[in-house]
Amino acid sequence: MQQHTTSYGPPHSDRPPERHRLVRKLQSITDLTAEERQALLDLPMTVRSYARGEDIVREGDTPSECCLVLEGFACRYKLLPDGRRQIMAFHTPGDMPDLQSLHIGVMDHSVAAMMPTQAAFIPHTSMRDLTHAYPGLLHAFWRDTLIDAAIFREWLIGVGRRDGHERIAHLICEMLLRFRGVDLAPNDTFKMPVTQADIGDALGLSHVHVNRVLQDLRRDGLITWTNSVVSILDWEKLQKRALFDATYLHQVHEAAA
Amino acid sequence: MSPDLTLTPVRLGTDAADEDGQLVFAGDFLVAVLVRLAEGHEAVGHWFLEHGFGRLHVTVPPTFSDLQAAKHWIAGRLSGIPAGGSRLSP
Repeated sequence: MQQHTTSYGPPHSDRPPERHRLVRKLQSITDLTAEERQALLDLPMTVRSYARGEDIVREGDTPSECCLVLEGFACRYKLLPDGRRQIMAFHTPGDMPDLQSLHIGVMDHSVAAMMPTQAAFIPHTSMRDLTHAYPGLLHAFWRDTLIDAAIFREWLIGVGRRDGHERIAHLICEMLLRFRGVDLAPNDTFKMPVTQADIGDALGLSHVHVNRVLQDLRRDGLITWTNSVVSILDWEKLQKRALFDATYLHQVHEAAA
Repeated sequence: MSPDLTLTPVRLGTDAADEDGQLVFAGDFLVAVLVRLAEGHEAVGHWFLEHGFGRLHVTVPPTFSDLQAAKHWIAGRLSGIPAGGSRLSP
């Protein structure tokens, strides 16, 4: 597996410009003071680049750093012994998919890039120092993991009880609000480079079923989905089709549409 | 021992363009429903396991290039020998 460490050149080698996505993400779910925002921006980080399909963190790893998605798109997944894959979460820039590694030493699932992705790695020691110095950030990260759990609950309901149309429409609703939360959904349009097989592995559907549903959603004028770019054409109808209630995302600040 | 498989053409109400189907019988037992993928799918013309009963009920249903390949896979599953190339349920 190739892996590149990107250098931004001194004196900003540990200060990639996209690090503000972490601030934006946390501000979408809680309030931060100016000092807390600055402390997040000052976190030391090492940036690495990943190709589509490349693992960022693997099941069984014992990380000493947390990874932050700076650019791109990632998923958390687990494989059964015969190769069947369950994708359990998608992650936008600003997310820290393995934040749990700070307190749970061994990764019980893997994190992979779904497109060319840049991830920043923040040493656990720096995260601990940060949260000791700024208890407000400790609560912000705690809140983030609680919301993470709320999203898992919602996905569980999807896999267990929603029909195919509801599942896919629900995923699109969720991703729109999460991309909006980090200012990456101008005009209700966002980049989600996943295949129909990926969606199937996330939602427990066959790729054939996924294709049929996407054709229906397009035909009904709810979305367009071309070359990995998703546009929401009728937000109200899409939410209705999904039985979508955004409460579980616990976003506190209305992001710019 | 390979079960005696017979196919009966049928039109399927999938609520999509995929309506060219085949009922697959093992003796008197209906064991699977196959559908030919219509325009709009990547694998147009291939056969998809729309539904399988019993041992053919899998969480990741496979697609086959032709009916012969489908019958081979179905016969393997029914004989308890997993056919290669597909991710199967235990």
